[in-house]
Amino acid sequence: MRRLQERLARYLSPPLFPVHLSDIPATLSFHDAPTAEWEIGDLRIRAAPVSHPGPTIGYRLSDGAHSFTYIPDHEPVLGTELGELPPDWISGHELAHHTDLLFHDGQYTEEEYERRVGWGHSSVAHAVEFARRSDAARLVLFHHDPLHGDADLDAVRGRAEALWNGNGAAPPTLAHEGMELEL
Amino acid sequence: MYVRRHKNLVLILAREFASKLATPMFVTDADGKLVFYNEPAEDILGRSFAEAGEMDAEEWANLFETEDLDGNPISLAEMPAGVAFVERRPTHGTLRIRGLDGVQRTISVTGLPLYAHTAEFVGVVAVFWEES
Repeated sequence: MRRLQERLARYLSPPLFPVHLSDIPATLSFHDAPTAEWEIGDLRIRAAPVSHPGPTIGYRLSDGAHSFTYIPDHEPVLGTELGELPPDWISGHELAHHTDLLFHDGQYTEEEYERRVGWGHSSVAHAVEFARRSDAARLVLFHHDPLHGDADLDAVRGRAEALWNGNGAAPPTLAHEGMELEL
Repeated sequence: MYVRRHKNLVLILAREFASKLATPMFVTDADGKLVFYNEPAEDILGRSFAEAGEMDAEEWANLFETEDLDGNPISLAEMPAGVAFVERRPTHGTLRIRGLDGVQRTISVTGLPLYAHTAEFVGVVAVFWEES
């Protein structure tokens, strides 16, 4: 498995980019996500690989009282029904289990996903089902499709709300620039 | 309380791969525990995975009464999947097993160790088929 520095150096090199990573006039430090939990200030952070083409990780941040799970690039199942899998066989489940707030990939409508299986992203139905199987308290959909306009996103949110049935929890919403959430 | 450990992503992907194959295949974790086999494997092993469930290495190594083609019992460390597990190297072999349906079958097996990172062994996949 290549290290983060090697991966970035590949992108910052000709013919992809004229300037090499080593040419950048700065002291660069690269931190590969540890496999064990680590701490930054009062936060405990855990990273784990999730299903997506190429090495990809999701994160869980916790201060002991509340937790936030961030899985922006994720296709939790490939050609399998999420509802049929035991929790320990669901990609990302260990990060999202009983989290207070889940930021999750919700790029496609269910119809769009049918033509994009294996691209590494979730349908709105996947995102909602993943949140439900993980017992996440709140779901915020993220990684919006760049071809979706406001009307499309409203439809995605409406579909997520219809699917949610979240046992009294707040319905899913869409991430947007400048959004602030309190845990 | 027994808590099932979350499976490594490589095992999750191996299971998804196996579940789409018409080729018999089983998956073990890093401890050698048999954690999944697919429907085509059920025909050879003689019982559905849902019925058999997960089982430790010694358990599955003994359960199928594995022997070589001369009828001599062989240990886990001599089976292709066992070599992949114990020695962490791929191997291939032909042997006889008795399925849980009581039928003895001759099968060829290829066992492959799985590494998530260079030094992170996470399990084994074994692909096998019945010799005619």
